[in-house]
Amino acid sequence: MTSPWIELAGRLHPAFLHLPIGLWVGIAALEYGAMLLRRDVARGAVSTLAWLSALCGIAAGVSGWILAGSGDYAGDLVESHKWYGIATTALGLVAAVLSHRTARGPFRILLLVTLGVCGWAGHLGGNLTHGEDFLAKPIARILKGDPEVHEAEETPSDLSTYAGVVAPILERTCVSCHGEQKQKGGLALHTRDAILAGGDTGPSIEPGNAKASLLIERMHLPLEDEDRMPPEGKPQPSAQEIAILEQWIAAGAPFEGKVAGIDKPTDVVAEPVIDHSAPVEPASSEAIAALRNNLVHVQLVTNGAPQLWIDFSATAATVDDAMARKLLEPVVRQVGELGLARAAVNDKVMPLFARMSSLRRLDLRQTGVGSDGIEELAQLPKLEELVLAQTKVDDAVVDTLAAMPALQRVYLWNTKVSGEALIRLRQQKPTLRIETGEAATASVLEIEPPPPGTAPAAPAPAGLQPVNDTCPVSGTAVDPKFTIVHEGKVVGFCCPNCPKTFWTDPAKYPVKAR
Amino acid sequence: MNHDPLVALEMTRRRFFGASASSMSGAIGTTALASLLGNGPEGPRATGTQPVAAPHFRPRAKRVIYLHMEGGPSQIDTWDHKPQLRDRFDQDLPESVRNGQRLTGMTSGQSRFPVAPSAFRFTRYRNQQEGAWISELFPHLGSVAHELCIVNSMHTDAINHEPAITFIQTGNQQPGRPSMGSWISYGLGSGNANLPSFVVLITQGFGNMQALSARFWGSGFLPSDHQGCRMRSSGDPVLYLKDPPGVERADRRRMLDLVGAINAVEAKRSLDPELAARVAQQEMAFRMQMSVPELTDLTNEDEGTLEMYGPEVRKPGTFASSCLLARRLSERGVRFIQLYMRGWDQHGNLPNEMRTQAKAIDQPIAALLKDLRRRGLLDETLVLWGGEFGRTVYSQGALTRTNYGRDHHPRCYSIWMAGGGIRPGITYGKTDDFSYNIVENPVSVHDLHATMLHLLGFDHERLTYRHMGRDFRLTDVFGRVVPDLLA
Repeated sequence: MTSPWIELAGRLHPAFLHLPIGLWVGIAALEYGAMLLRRDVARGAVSTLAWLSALCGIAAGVSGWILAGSGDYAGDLVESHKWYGIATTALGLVAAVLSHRTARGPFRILLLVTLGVCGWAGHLGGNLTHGEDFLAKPIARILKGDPEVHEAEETPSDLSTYAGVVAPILERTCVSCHGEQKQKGGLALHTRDAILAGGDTGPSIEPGNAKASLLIERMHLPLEDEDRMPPEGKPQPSAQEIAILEQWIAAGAPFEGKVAGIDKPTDVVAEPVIDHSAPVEPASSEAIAALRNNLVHVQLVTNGAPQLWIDFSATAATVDDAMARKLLEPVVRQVGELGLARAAVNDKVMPLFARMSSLRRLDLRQTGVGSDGIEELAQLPKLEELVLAQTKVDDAVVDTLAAMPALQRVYLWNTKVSGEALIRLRQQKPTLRIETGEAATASVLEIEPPPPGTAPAAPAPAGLQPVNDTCPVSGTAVDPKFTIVHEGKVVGFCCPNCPKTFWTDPAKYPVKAR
Repeated sequence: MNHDPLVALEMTRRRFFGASASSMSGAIGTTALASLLGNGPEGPRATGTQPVAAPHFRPRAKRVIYLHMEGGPSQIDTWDHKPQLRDRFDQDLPESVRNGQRLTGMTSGQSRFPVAPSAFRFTRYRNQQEGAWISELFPHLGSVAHELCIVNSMHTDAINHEPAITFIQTGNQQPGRPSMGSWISYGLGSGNANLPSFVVLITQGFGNMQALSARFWGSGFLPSDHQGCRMRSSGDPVLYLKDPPGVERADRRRMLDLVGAINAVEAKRSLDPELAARVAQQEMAFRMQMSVPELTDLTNEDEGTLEMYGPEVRKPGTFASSCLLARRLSERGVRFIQLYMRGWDQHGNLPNEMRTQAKAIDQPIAALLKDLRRRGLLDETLVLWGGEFGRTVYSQGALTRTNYGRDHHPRCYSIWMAGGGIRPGITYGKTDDFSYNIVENPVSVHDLHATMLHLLGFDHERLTYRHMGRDFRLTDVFGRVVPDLLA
């Protein structure tokens, strides 16, 4: 779009703008200083500086105009800053003209106006760069009396308030899925408005009535229940924390002020940190026997190492989340390769997999897992190969795949991952081998002439040029790099994917020879 | 004899326990490994064929699909491109080339041995080297040339079908030894307790056909639950699997329990390991009553996949339907899937017969490779295509530009492999101008077996079975792994 040099000029705006600001202040010092000290004004100096400042103002204005056009800044603030800046330059030019006059009066008045406008333009520019509360923030509490942001440090006024006790609970156990980044079920719980607004199923809390609040109701459901919140495998609220929430709602869910009876909970259990580097012991024989009694194939991957290859092929249809969890829990550290293709498992089994420190290959083909479940596996240190063909993962899985530290190969045939997402994944992780079922077709390099004396099936093609100009599948122009031999003729296609489509039914895609 | 049954029945296992103990590091205690070896010494092995030892090192392949082209397809007309033969049409094969190679009774009476160049055109497809020359008989396989490792320098010792097939299946020309699939079933065990670990599917061909004996997939001296289970192409996939009318599955279960109890008593008395195998097979048959109908039920297979295999895929008994079944067996944990295609023994009328034979297999095999690839199975499935020997460069019978026959030729022939840790997209080994002798990188049948076992995680010298006082192995006393074939 714009030339890079013009873009550079725009980016010099912060360089240019400081000159008029400093110069006007200097000019003011000279002029008013002379006035106050009843000296003669150094007219030459003042004029020179005034003209210099005006010219720099023009440069600042032009560069600022270009910068505004770059699109990184937008909004009312930019507009205000722009006009005040232009006004500064315009006033500065007039002032520079007036600065030559012997009569200093008009110049001094205009100088004052210019200073004011320049200062205000500069302040607006500062707001643009540093935020509107940049100056006010340190003294905000003095100015307004109550904080807008939730402070991390404990101050005595925090205890027993929403901000001090309730918000951290929601932050720990709810906001990762119901917050600024994600709003599962249309619900967010990180701000007051969001909490009061509720989600798809309705309002999350009924101020004054804890029992009728959906939030509390869901926290009391058993862990295995589908509607349970937070779901199994996620950080759970402790009993005291739930009591605090109930107390708070019963008191009318006040977002300001203290609520009687709620204090910092003392029974919160920190989420266990998964230590993937701990040494792996050999699996217990009871665990292996249990697996084998359920017709699960268990075998050492290699002699001399404790890693196991576990395959559920025999009973895939009858394996569900509960059974998979029960059988795999005792061997969770030893599982090296896990085959769950065609099993009736879904995302609920993923938190267990997140603890499989030795897992190198995971086959989840034709299961019910989705992108949310795969997200749990992002930290697995050894996972090299992941088969997700025929699952319902979608574009959201791409970011998880890009984050996996050891992943070398992923299979995404017959999933909902779009072409654009695949391109994004390839850019983020160029070394990752992605199989989408669109494997490359080996193209034709050379065909020898027909054997002498044999009647050729079709006239020999001229060299290796394809006989057609348009791709029989897509209709777009043929790329001579992608050719196949069909019925004795060299047929060209537009891309490496069309030959596969062509092979499925050659009669459906007639070749239009030149 | 009053042996302690524990001691006696353990004796067989203790043999490779001792043989493989040297390969174990101290990290795994003997007791832990014992628990991994399977059930106790007495009683039937209720959970199917269990592996007797872990692989010696980390396997690249977990299963094998072996496409055996029975009869010996001509390498000159398929994979071994010899354009220089076109100038030698009808010339006599020089004695220096033939170098005393024995002739079969079918051509020993010929007065001349005229060179017969291939009647087919070859195309060079892009691969990881300078391109693979593949004949016009296999356009679909040409499109997956980047997956194939073509070996043009295979050689064998036998010149007729029975000994040659026995050799490539069992590692010895004389019958009596276990087949490849049985060795692998014995070493790796079954991946699916509900299906046999070794399955055989046979397709009738269109050309000249030779006999196929059941001992090609037999278990030799290994316990008989390692033998190949042949699935038929028409009627019931497995004979005698269905209960006869009037017998319910629950009745069958009670009968098996009773028979099993009697067998257990007998096993204590006679210490015959075959009893355990017999009971295991009966239990397997019981489970297969449920698993085989699920295996052959194609209603859940999507249309796009079926179309990929070609129009024959729904007809049972065709090669296309066998290939689809091979993929389904791979998904279900079967270790060794062997597809026999008969009819490649073209002593006469070669060009016409090969066209029909090739058309039946080209699209299905390419589809099988693509299907395995996209489901994440190809990298752990070793696919092997080949016959038992090659064919002569000279014509058997009358020779014209468009019609000729070829006799058996053991000194060189071509196979290809794909997947399972094999180096893809290369051509390995070279023959001379007449495709008669090997000039570079010969690969014997034993070498092929050693390489295959290596990919499955076994040192071919250490996977042994004691029989008649000797430790037998698939590669006998020969064979070396070919490192250039490994990825």
